[in-house]
Amino acid sequence: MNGGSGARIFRARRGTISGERPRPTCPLAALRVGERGRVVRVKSASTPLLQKLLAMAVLPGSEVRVDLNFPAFVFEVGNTRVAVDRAIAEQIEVERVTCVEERPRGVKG
Amino acid sequence: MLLSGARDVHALVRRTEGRECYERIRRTVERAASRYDMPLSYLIGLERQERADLIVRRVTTTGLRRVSRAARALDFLTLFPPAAIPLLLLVLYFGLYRFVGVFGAGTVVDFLERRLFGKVVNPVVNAFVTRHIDSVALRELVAGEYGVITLGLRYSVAIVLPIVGTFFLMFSVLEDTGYLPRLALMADRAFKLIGLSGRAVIPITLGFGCGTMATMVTRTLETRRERTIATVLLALAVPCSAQLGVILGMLATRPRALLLWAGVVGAAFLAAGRASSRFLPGERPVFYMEVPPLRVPVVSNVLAKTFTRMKWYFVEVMPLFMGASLVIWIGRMTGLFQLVLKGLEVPVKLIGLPPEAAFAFLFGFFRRDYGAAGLYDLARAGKLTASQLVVASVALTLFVPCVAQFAMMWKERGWRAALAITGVALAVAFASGYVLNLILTGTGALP
Repeated sequence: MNGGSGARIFRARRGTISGERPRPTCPLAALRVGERGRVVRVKSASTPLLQKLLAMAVLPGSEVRVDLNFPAFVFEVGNTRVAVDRAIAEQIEVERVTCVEERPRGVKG
Repeated sequence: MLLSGARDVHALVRRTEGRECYERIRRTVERAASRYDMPLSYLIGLERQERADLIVRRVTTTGLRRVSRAARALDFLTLFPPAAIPLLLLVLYFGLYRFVGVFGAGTVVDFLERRLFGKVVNPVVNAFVTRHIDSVALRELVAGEYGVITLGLRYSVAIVLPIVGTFFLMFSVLEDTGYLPRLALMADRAFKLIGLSGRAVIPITLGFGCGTMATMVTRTLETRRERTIATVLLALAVPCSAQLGVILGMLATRPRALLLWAGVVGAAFLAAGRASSRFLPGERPVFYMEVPPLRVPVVSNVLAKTFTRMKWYFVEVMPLFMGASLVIWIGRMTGLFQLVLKGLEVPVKLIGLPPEAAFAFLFGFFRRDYGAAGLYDLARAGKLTASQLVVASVALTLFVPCVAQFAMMWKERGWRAALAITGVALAVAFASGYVLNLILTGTGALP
């Protein structure tokens, strides 16, 4: 239930500008329940779907936290909670936040 | 807006700037688009979002949001499958079965149909026309057994209205609490098996109330393909409450027959879903929904939502039921019904039923419960064996939808789809009846 507005500081174009440290990415579908990720891009060919996800604030730079991965994927993004099926969750590319970043720095919450 | 690809803006520019100038603009847009690997409209949307966020950050502060224990508990109950699925079943049991089925379709229908129409409206109308109208044909049009008032109005107000009304009341409550998206996401996996997304849980469950209304509600589905699949399933294998009531009543004393009926209809439902999702062209269904936090429903919201949907019923569905009475009248007056009855006797005998059952099938087209009630009478008169009863119930359930639902399919999906679906339903109904009859008489499974 957090990670809302703070995550927005990292807004957009992350990972697309060259020279930045490349990070391993994975589909949102690969995150475990409770894990956090930051959206890198949405790999969908369907413009209406892209627009819908955009309207629900699922866009590059947004931080997500997975609440549920069965029977559908439910994740929090900002103050919104979104449910998508596996096919869509496979198309949302994220970089893991929880394991890679927060633990070594020992930052709380 | 030109860059975003807004169609009406493109049309406007073409009209006002002339074809040549528009072509130049279009080429410029295409050149710009070719430089990105994402659609321009999406990139513009991203940029807009980014700017909006900047402004929001500048003018607002955000505190830590506390999540109450109750909210967490509710989330757990409605999202964690081992808790959410039993809850879903409870909601369906109390909301759908107890409230819509027992209260709406039982208590309220009983009052309106038996008391209001049976004791007051129909006798008054019948007495009035007998006294004031000489022509028998005209009398039969408004009154009598199949009149526009005594049947059409009675059916739509006393039988269907309470069911649709209680359904929408319950539905609006669920919607206002924010539970519906959670219900849809729980159902999504199962519905994907039949080519639908979780959203279809609404029209399909409504179909057990009134198939005509449900066919109209398929509008809310995302793609044309999903709308078509849902329409097929509603027409073929979802018995409406009117029919369900009589069939359950008829088979209640024979648990094995009831189980067999439910099994065959359920299998037909799955098979029809699988088949249409396999053969209908178009993209596979996708499911996405915002999941709002749960809230206590607000009475005024619930009432406003219920009334809006009831307006659909009064404006778009009720006239169809009145029209059905008119069709029955024409059919009886012109002798067309006798002809159709003779025609129907052939497949009816083929599936091992007495020719009298043809009457039940014909009237099943006008009121699905009339069809089932016709069987009920035959069964009570001892003219049907247990296996014949099952065969007849299965065939009648799968048989073409009622005339109002047919008209709604025509309106929503077009005449080709309506005729095709009806044809398929007819073929599937008699084919299943035929095979079931062969198996039952061959094995002697039911005496």
